[in-house]
Amino acid sequence: MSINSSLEYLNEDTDNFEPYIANSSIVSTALKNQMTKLQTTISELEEIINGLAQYAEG
Amino acid sequence: MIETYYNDEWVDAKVPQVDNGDISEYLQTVNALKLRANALKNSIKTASANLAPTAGSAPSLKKVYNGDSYATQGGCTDGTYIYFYIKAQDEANAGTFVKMNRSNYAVDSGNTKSLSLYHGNDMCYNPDTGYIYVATMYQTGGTSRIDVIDPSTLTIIAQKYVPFYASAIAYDSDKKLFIGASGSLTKNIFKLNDSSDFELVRTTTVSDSPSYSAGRSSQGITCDSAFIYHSWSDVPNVYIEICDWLGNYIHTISKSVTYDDISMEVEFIEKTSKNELLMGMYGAGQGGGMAYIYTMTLT
Repeated sequence: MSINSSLEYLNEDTDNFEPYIANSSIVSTALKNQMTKLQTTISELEEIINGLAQYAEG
Repeated sequence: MIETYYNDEWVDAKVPQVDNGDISEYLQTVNALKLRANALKNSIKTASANLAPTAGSAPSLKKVYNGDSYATQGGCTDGTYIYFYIKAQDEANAGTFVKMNRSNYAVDSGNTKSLSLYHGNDMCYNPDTGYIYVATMYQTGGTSRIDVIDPSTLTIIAQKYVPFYASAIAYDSDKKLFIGASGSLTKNIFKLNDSSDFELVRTTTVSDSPSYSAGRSSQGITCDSAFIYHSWSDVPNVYIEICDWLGNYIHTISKSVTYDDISMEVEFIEKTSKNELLMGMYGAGQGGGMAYIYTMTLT
């Protein structure tokens, strides 16, 4: 997965989920998937930040 | 300190824990994760722009090798030796692999070897395995061949394939990640998995690469914990394009490089310390298997 494209969904409007909130299983699955993607992305971003910190201190 | 580059969003992006499956909590968590990711993304861009080197010392070349095969291509260093490949004029034939003392540029007896590395365009040393990985530029079925060399015996111990076009390769031992690049906007981040096979981790797109849009020739790459340095040539000009690991283009260091009125072409590039780049060069169209070293001090 491209980290650049994976970041595109950061701009998606989470409010889109609101009309479907009655169907909680669909919504919770979609949100869980999004959470997983975001957590992976954040781990990668944190790794990049750590590399910059290491460079700054080196 | 890197915290200097964190913005206010970072402080606010605390992520609540979901513990009962409640939709509103999921929404709250996703929104908080998005805020945190965006804050990190912005912090990376700001930190990279402030930390990257902005200039390099003027060319001062040393001719280090004269006379095997045809044209110097990829190279790398393990700190003690510089390894490089001089391809044959017909790259289907074997060229010469050279193991040179970095301290005095001498080549000890037995430290050249006839190997078939195809174009042998770039290589990197992986201190975790102790092997050299060569981006041969040999392609088949949408894959590119990476040859693995044992530097102690100068033998090819494996030939592996990556699922993308790789003309250049670098390795970061802190992240345990390789970078595979070509002349496109994309850099592929990959790793060795538990079976010692290559596994693509992600791709990073340097969407505003001026070198790509200018049609320069893509050459070797190198990296450190913070940045990726991609060399490009438009003889006699050498361009060192710097981006971060997220693909943010930072800027380019450019030099016009000649030696005895011969226009030079950069072939490989190695980050040897925080402030030093070692570049292997070749006289464009010169033939004769000559190699030159340009050590650039970064500021």
